[in-house]
Amino acid sequence: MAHLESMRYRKQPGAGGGHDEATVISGMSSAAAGTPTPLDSDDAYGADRAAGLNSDLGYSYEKKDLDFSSSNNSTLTPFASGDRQHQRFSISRNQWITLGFIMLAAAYVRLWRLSNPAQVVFDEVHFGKFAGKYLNGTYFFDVHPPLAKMMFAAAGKLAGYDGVFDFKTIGLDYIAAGVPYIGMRLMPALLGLSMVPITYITLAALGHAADACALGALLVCFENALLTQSRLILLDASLIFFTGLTVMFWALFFTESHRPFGNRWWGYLLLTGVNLGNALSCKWVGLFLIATIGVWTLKDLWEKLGDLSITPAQYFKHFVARAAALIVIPVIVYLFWFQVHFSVLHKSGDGNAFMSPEFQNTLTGVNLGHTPRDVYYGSRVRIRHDATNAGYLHSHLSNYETGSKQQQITLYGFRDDNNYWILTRTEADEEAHQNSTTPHELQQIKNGDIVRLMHWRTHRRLHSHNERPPMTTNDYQNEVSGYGWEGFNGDSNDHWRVQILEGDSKVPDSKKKLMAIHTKFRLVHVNQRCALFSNRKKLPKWGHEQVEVSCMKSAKFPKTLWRIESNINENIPKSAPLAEYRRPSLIEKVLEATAVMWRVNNGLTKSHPYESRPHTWPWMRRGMAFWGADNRSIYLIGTPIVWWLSFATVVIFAAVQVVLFFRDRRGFHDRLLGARERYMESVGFLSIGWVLHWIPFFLMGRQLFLHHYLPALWLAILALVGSLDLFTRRLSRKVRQVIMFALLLATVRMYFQYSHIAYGSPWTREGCERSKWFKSWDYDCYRFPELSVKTPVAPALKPNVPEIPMPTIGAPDIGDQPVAIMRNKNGEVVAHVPPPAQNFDPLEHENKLNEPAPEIHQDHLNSNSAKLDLEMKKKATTVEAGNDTDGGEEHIAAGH
Amino acid sequence: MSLFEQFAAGNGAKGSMTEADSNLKPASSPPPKYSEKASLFASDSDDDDTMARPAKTSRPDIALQQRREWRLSQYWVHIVVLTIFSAMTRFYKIGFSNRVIFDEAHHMGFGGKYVNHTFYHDVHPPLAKMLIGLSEALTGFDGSFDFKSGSRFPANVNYTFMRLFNASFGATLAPMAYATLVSLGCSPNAAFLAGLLVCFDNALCTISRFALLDAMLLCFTAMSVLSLSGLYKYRKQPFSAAWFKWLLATGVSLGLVASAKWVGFLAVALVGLYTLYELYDLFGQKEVGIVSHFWHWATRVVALVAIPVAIYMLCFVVHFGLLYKSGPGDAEMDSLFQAGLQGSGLQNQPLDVAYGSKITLKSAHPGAGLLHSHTDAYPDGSKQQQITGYSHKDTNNDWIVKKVHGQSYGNTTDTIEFVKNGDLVRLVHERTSRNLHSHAVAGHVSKRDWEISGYGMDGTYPDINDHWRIEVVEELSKNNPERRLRTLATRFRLRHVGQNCVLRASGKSLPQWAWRQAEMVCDRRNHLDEKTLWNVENHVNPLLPPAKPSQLKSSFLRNFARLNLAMARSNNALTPDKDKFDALASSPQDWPIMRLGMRMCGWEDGEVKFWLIGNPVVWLLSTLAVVLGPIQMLYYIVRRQRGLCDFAQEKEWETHLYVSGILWGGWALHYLPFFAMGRVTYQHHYFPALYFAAMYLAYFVEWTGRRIAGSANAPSTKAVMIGLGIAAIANFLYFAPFTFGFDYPAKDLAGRKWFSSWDIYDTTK
Repeated sequence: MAHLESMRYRKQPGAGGGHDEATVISGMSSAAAGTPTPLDSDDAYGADRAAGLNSDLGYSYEKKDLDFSSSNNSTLTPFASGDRQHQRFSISRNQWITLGFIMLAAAYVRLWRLSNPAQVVFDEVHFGKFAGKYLNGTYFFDVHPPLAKMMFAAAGKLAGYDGVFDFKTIGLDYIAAGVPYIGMRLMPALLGLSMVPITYITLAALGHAADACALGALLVCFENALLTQSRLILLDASLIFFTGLTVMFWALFFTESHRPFGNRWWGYLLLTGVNLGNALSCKWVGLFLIATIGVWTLKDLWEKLGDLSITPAQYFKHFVARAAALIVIPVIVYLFWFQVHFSVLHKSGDGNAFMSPEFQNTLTGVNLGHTPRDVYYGSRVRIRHDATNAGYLHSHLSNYETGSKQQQITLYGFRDDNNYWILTRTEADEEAHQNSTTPHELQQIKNGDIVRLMHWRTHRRLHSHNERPPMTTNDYQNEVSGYGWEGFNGDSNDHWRVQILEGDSKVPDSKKKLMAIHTKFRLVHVNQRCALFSNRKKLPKWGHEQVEVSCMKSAKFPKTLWRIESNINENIPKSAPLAEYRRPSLIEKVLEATAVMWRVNNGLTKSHPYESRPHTWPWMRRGMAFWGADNRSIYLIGTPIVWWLSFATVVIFAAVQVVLFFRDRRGFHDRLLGARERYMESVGFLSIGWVLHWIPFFLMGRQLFLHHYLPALWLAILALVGSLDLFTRRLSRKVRQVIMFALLLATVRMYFQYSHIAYGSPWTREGCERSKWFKSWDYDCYRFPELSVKTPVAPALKPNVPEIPMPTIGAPDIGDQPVAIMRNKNGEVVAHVPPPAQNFDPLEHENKLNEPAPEIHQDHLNSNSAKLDLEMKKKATTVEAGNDTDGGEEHIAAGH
Repeated sequence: MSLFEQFAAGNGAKGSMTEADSNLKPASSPPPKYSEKASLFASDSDDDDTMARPAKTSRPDIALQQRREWRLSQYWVHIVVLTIFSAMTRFYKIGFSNRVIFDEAHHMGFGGKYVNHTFYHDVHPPLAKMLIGLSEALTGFDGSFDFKSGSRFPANVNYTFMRLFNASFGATLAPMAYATLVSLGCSPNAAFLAGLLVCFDNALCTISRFALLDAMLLCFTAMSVLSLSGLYKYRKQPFSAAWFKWLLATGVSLGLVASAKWVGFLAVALVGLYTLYELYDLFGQKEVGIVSHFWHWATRVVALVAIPVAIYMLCFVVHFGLLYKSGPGDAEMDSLFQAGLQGSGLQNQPLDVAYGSKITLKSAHPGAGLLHSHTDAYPDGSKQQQITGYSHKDTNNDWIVKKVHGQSYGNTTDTIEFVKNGDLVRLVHERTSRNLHSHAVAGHVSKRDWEISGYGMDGTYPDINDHWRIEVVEELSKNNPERRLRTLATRFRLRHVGQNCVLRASGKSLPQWAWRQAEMVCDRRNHLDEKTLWNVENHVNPLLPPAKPSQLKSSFLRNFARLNLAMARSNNALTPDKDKFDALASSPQDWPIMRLGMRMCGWEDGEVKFWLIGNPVVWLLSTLAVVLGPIQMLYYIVRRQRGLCDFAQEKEWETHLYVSGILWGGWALHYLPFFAMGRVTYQHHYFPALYFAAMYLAYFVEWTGRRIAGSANAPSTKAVMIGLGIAAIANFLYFAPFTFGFDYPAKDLAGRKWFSSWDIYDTTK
């Protein structure tokens, strides 16, 4: 802090009143030693400065006044260095005893009726299911990193879960299915419980008094949102736990700052790094934590830079230590958890389709095997779209309902016979080849060759012409269709030039000759000069919701690249060279998984009945319904007083800093009751953490939920207690105690008031209505019986309340029906079910890409096929008559 | 004394200014002097009381006078030389190509609209285009040519003059760069180098030689930063006459630059940030009292906010005044504005809508168009007739206002009944006799809302779901006590009586089965936004007299706001297809490293061709400077934090911060925002940033030379500067064919293809 002071000082040479720069700068080091420096004529400031550097002096009065918690000096040890007494941070026995009692209460509060409800609640649908996948070892895809889910899997394993129950929908019964769900819920509940001591120790390490630490621990204990979220199989408890652990070790690290490179110093620093990595491996929200620690590291390093007692060599050591612990270690931890993730999920599963073939090849049960490497004319091939994992170039006996109404060409995710294409020469080339000396020799396809692709099953040729595709209707996009019939010689609109863009550097010639798997190539339509392209757009029902393929002019490369995955040709000798997919390294796999997670995460834009935007969180505009059955329900809502006061604390901190900024500029150096340094070091750190855990959400387009605010909330609660501690120290002990008790009592009172919807325990309608301070808190009070009705039987008014399906996040199969039910004044359910969300879910979309295609009745189609052939022939005749848009001239030129 | 003389003089002889700045300075200012070594900081000399003055300050006034005159003449020589060079490079062979080159197709075309007075719509503010229009008017252009891209100018279009007019704006750039650096305290050498770099940059030269907006934008940007440098120079003498002049000049140039292109707002941001810093600095000066603070704020608000806003709006006043005829841009404006244009077809309509009137209904949501129906039916849902929004005018947009089922209305002049607020009406599609209808069937794209369909045969199948209530929201005409529904002037909602929902353009398009027309829904969640607002556009009723023109007048502020919103919308709509390769577009990271050039016209061998590319000496070295500058700055900052003093005087460091802040900050502000823009970006978007970068390069060379060699006039520094200048000129001449045009095959210039990504000629051909 001393450095910051002198920094501020130095920026305004005018205030120094005639001291030249050199004096001020050298004054810095003397200031660090605690010597009063004649920097300012302002006596009060000078005096404060002399004392303020050692904030324990600033608090000296309260040691006698406020020593009610029998705290020893160390609880008031300043955060930063520059202290004369380098006493080691420790927590006294009495404090441990206090903490023990708090823990007893917290254990009761946090673990009470963990078994209730014995049903699948909210996103347990996903995370329970994912735990099962780990136990089964089948690969799945999720938008979150793996650690928290693996912890659930481990808990499930310990509790005896066998991975069979599939957590399909909210409300499924656990007991009947014999799922050891209590064991699985115990894991987050214990993590949630450990937030209580973490809070205590963090506050103590940040230099707050023992009574404040206890208050903080109790506030966290009785906070309903943290409580609700940590009792269920949800990821946030793990995330908040690791966030808390990181912040705690970071605060402890600073208590060691006067003994750099000591054992404890290294220990705390490394533990900070490890837990940063863990938090990041639970959810990407951990990135905000990294930003928080990063900002504070930079600030600290900057101040150290000005501390001339640190030599450049030492400074370099400081720098390297932090870089290693806070950058390298988190990365290693993140990679490590992914390594565990990949090695546990070694079997093929429903997540395959999100990944590249190289990745899939590493899973057992997927055997992409090998295929003859060289591709010859006459080969039967399966062609995969390279940029998207949307599937293979596909055709089937259905026609477009738009444009040319010719046969559809699509991308299809599953391997079937309709993916096979035969590569043939153009008619002229074929003729030349037949007349050549070696008409029967195999001829390899080279870069620049013009080929035709014949669909193996339907004998249509891959064709394009000046028609707009069904979904992408830009004028630079052409429709791609299957055209022709058996025996038809084709026309020049079937001609595609093979343009090889990438090869495998290890395989010579793979950039010149077409090779399976190694070669990435474009198919450029000769007449239209457009490249075969796909953009993950789905065709409508008539296209069996498969992915559109079009031909795009001046397309950029990535989405026009194709690869041959299997290559069949009876004439290829058995000894011919083979090609197979490379096996990616761990880092490549993590990068790929991360890229897919990022893409899908950004695509989660479907609207959800309980989504909320960040600006509504701090003042808790609305909660989230998790579960409801009979006359009980679970609804995520915080303890209002804690949310509001903690938010106010952060706002006040910001306002005070702004005022101080301008007052400093005018030459007033306010001391804030002697607490200014501590206010910055403790509350300032927490507030910056809060900002970095909240503001970035505004930039996110994806659906967001109230529980995304919880890490920020925890930081804000600490800031609240910290501010309360610092600014009540000058009050009499009694007043301070009264204020703290009042806050605690109000919190506990509200905890009890809202505990019914936190635990899903019975409630009365009157109690519910009374607690509903805002209309926007939309938990359903009519669910609860009126007080007059003694029996817990559901009231006569609504004997047949239907089981309401609960929404979950991103669950494709459920979640269209919001739980909010409108009731009129009489409590009758108004027939008003909001219709399903209108945006499609990309996850669902992506899943659907990989579902088996709807049954196409071959018989039916075959009977149809004669008719189609006839139509096409008819069309061809009209083409000859010259009134067709379909490139009539080329058609004739092709000699038809 | 001209403005230039003032600042030039201010550099050498501050004494002449001290009378004016009695505000702050006691009469303690030392005798004016010029010291070659401290020229960077000379402008600060008069309040530099902590600095020990050299003993020789009491030099006789005569010598000073001589020196000052000599310097002045040197300045003028430099300026004149740079101006001549600029004129030569900008005007040489300017009429070489007689084709419409690049965006001349747009901008000369828009200029022609001012000649023709037809209303058009474009993404840019009007000032620069009005100036092009002025140049066309000066040539006596009759508005008959449409400036189609690549076409040849007819004999009666004096395109050479139009280009000359535009190029003269571009020619001011180099002298202004010179003056700016002098004003920022640089030595004449560095300033002259900056002038040369700006003058001999191929890109800045090429873009100035055609009738495009960029030359004017660059000119106004340069004016802004020149005025800012003047403001900086006199910052220690606030409220002096010179300070006021520069403040005023800054305000005016900001108004001009913002009215030329919206990129100009980046210059506004630069000045704004500078001003805020200055005010913050002032805040820390205890001797400045509250009254003084008030005046500091007030003058800046007037000069830097009020004046630019006034100029910006004035441009639109002129724009609307000149374009009084109906034209291609009508549809972007609301109906009431269109009614004020000659030939829009919306004049001479009856004012009050009566039962039996034939009307068209226009949505206030841009892009939704007119309420439309056609004989196609919905493929699913109710399978009734489609109702859509359609932007083009045809008879399928016509609706007849009728009373609800079972009621009739008078159909003579005497018995006519007007439609009023709150009335229940039925809207019957004239061509198909279907009623506008809604029911509890989900919409087709917006599935949360109800479907709108055409149902029944007029009165044949009476259904309450055909009834709509008129809810007037806004009335733009006067004297309407009965709250009648009025053509154009009334904005209203149509509330469905049966479902209590409102007719709304969902903002989405229907699929191909409805020809991708706009979707209409009945909104049941009460989104009472612009999309639910409607007005009557066309109104036919033979029983009623036409309205007086004065009754249908739209206010300027309303038109101004509407047009600016439309510009923003069109601008945001210029989003590229990220999968499509666009030979003209480039992305911001390509610019500083010159990855791409741009063909400005067709590339046939025999035609005159222009290739937009910068001067590598200027572009690459200025990129190097803007990268090295911050690194060097960081170096000094870190050393300062370690307590190491690199500067004999704190002022030297402070000045460096200020000047770097203006030049480097100007570059960053004109460059970095393009990364955040969703719209398509082109190479010429970098040019204002390049102007700053070129000046920063010159400053950086001088400053670094001063740090290393100890003086701005050290031989090594001078040698570097001369080398830079010569290299720039040589490279300019080497690339001159691209700038001045060449009519031989591009392959002949193959040697100038320095990077493989440059598309001078097609390697494939």
